[in-house]
Amino acid sequence: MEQTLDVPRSLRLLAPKAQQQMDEFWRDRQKEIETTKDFSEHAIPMARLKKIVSSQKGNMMMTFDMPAFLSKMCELFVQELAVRAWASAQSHNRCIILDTDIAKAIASTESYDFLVDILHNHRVKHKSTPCSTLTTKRCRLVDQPSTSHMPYQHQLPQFAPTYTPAIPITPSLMPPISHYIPFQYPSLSQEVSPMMASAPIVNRSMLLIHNIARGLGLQGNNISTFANNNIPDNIVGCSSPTVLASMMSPALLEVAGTSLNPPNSHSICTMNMINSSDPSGSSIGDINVANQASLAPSGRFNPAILRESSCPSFLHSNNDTIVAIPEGVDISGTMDVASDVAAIVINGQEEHERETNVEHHQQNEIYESIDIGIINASVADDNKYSISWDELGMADDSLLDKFLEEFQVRNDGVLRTGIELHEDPFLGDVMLANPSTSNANK
Amino acid sequence: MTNGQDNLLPIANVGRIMKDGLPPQAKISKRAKETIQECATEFISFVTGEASERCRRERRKTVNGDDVCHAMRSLGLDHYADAMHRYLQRYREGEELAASLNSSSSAAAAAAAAGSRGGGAIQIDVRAELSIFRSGNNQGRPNN
Repeated sequence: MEQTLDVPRSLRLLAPKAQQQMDEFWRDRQKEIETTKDFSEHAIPMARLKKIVSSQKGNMMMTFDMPAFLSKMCELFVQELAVRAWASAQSHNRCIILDTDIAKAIASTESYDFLVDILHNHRVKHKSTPCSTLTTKRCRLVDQPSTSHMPYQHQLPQFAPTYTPAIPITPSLMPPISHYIPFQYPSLSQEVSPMMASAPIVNRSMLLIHNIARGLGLQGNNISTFANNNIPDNIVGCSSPTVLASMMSPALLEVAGTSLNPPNSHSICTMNMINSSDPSGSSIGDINVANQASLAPSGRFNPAILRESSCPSFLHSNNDTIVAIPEGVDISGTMDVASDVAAIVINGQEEHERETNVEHHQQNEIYESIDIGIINASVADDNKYSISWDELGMADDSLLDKFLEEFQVRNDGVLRTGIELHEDPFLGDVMLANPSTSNANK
Repeated sequence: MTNGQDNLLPIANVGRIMKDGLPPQAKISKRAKETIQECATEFISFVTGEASERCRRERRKTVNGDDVCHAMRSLGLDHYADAMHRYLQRYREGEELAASLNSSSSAAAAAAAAGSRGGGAIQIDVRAELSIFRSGNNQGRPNN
């Protein structure tokens, strides 16, 4: 069993090396035989060789050259086994040849099968005797350091390259919502701003026209100042209403100062109102200025009319300011128109006092209608929409007339100024008649 | 043991032969030497046994070197057969050379003998002298 196990190992281990060594061994031996000159020297004594051969039962005779022949043969045999055993010892990294190495050498060679029995008997003999056990112990002690250097332990460590997989970092896209929201917000603000700016421009232009008319009627020096004022207002049409009010206030102050020669308690009140920076205050100031302007040319019925017109104007103006600014602005415009009509009629003909009274009643009716509208608006929301529409309609009609007048004035500035100086009352009647008819239609 | 030792080859000679064939750093354990000793003895017995049987079949009484070479070749020991065949040739060449030197003296002796005796007697004597001379050489070698 042991031998059969040993055979494949020895064949595997000794095959490549042993073949080369054996070939080299035999070549060396051939050379040695060729170079041998003295055949008298014998490695083994002839007497012993003869004794071994004669020990057989045959009692054969040998020729004279046999002892030398056998001696050489034995030498070759011993050396070949020694070389094979050395190869086996080398494979185990040992410098000492053991009997196990010789056993492997014999097992690896087919032609030495006749020696297997000898080996087996040899092992049995040595195991039984105590001397052999001592020798085996010595061999084992010698084997321990050599066995630590096994050829199988020469396995080289494999360095497997391990690469960490690089994770591609995709930058998170910014949400477009942040960019979308601010884009919409300014659009909303832009939508609101033109609506807020358009209304005060129209109202301020109406006031300017009235101021120009009064300036022309009273003093010619202020024409250039009003013209200059008109140009920047038109250019700065997109500005806020508060800015327009601040720009208008110094012009109004100049007009008031220049137009009113005698100091009165009413004038003091109007000056106080004009000083206020609120747009509602400025509108009230405009109304008072217009009324005072009418006082200068006509002196008879002015205080009575002024009182009647001033009382409802203050009350309504207070109500307007309480309710809403745009409604107040529209109402102030209508009041200016009515007051202008009354003043012109009085200036033109004293005989038509009744007409003035009738117009005054018409003014009262207008005020009542405005009051009703305000009440309805305050009561129900649905009515607000309808009322606002009506107010917008009124504004549109007045706007059309005023825009036409503005275009005529701008196109023929020089000629208009000359004509108005000569035919001021006539033009005033014609221009103001149209809005009165429009008011009647309404 | 004494019988075994007498029948085995001398272990000292075997050890020396092993060392001659190995590198200087090589060492041989005692058991290994004993194993080789027994194997070598068995090898010689085995081979000569095969050769003697061949001679017996051919009805010859003397084992020759050629017989041993032939036996080794039949046993599968071709390397040994080739090497030993060449060795045998070299050995015989040496022997023939020595024999030729000795043969001149033997021829002179033969001539002297022929002068003293008849032709038939002379031939027989010459052969006897040659065989005796060779046996003398064999005996002389162990002494050397």
